[in-house]
Parts: sequence; structure tokens; C-alpha cells
Amino acid sequence: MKQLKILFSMFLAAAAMLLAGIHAGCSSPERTAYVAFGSAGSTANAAIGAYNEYRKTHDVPKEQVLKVRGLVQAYVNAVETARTARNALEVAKASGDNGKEADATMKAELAIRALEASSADLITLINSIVPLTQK
Amino acid sequence: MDPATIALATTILSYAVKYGIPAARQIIEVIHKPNPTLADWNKAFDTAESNAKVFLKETENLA
Repeated sequence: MKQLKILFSMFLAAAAMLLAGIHAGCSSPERTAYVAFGSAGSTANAAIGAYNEYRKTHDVPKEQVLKVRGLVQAYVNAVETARTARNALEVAKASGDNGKEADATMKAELAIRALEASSADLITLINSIVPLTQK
Repeated sequence: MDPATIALATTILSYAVKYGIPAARQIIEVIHKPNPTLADWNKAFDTAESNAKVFLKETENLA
């Protein structure tokens, strides 16, 4: 039942990503980036939780856990890079220097895109492992 | 935010309340945030890696 709830939350997260895509057309770049990141991050977080429950209740090979672990580590690194870039953007905005702000904005956008790509890789792998019909 | 988006978000939120899924509620919070602050961003970053940190800690003996 708990597994089903986790999988259901993944479904909701995917629906929210669709919603975010629809909504992005009428948002500021700042808000669009926030919604895109929030949706991707929440989906990846739910997927990781689902896999962690799955590996505890199934006889999974160590190689599989290590493969997922590698992508999870890469994902966490991407989150931290995005966090650092976002905080740097806030400092640049406060400085009033347009050049610094433009540079920080570009770096923050690149970091969010890298995080979305990392999240997609992770979700694809976990979805290929954890069956949707799992009890 | 247009009515269709609100309706969709409300539907998702009702499911989240019904099933008690914190992750789904967090997504709704993100979508409904009109002007995200730095604190909002940091909260989203914390949420995004919460399960990852648990998983990495629980599997560190395999690495």
C-alpha cells in the first residue's frame, strides 16, 4: 500500500509537470524556472523514495543499487550546484550590477537545466526497475 | 493564474489531501507560488534532495 502511495505521488508529480508546462507560457522567467525545478525535483524525490522502498522488499542485485546510487549522487550534486547558482544570483541582484546579474542569471538557468537532465535520467532508470503494478 | 490551471491544481491537491502524500502537496505549493523568494527556492532544494540523502546514507556501505 505504501508503495502504491509512492507511485501515485509520482503520477501526481508527472501531472504537475504537465501543469507546469501549460502554466509556463504566462509566467516570468524566474517563476518558470522555479516551477520547472520544483516539479522535476519533487518527481525525482518521489522516484528515489519509491526505489529505496522497492530495494528493501525485493532481492535486487548490488550492481543495480550501485547504478541507481551513481545517478542519485549525480542528481544531488546537480541540486547543490543549482542551489549555489541560485544563491549567487540573489547576491548579484542585490549588487545592482546589471552585468553581474546577467551572468548569474545565465549560470543559474544552465544549472537548472543540468538538474532537469539529471532528474530525467534518474526517473527513467527507476521507472524501468520499479513496476507500476507492484504491490 | 487562469481558471483551468486553478481547477487542475485543485484536483491534484484534493488527491494529495485524500491520500496524504506530502510530495504532491509540495508540488502544489510550487505551482501556486506567484513570486518565489530565496527561502522558497531553498525549501524546494531541500525537498528535492531529502529522499536522495536518506538513500545515499542507507547504501553507503555498498559504495
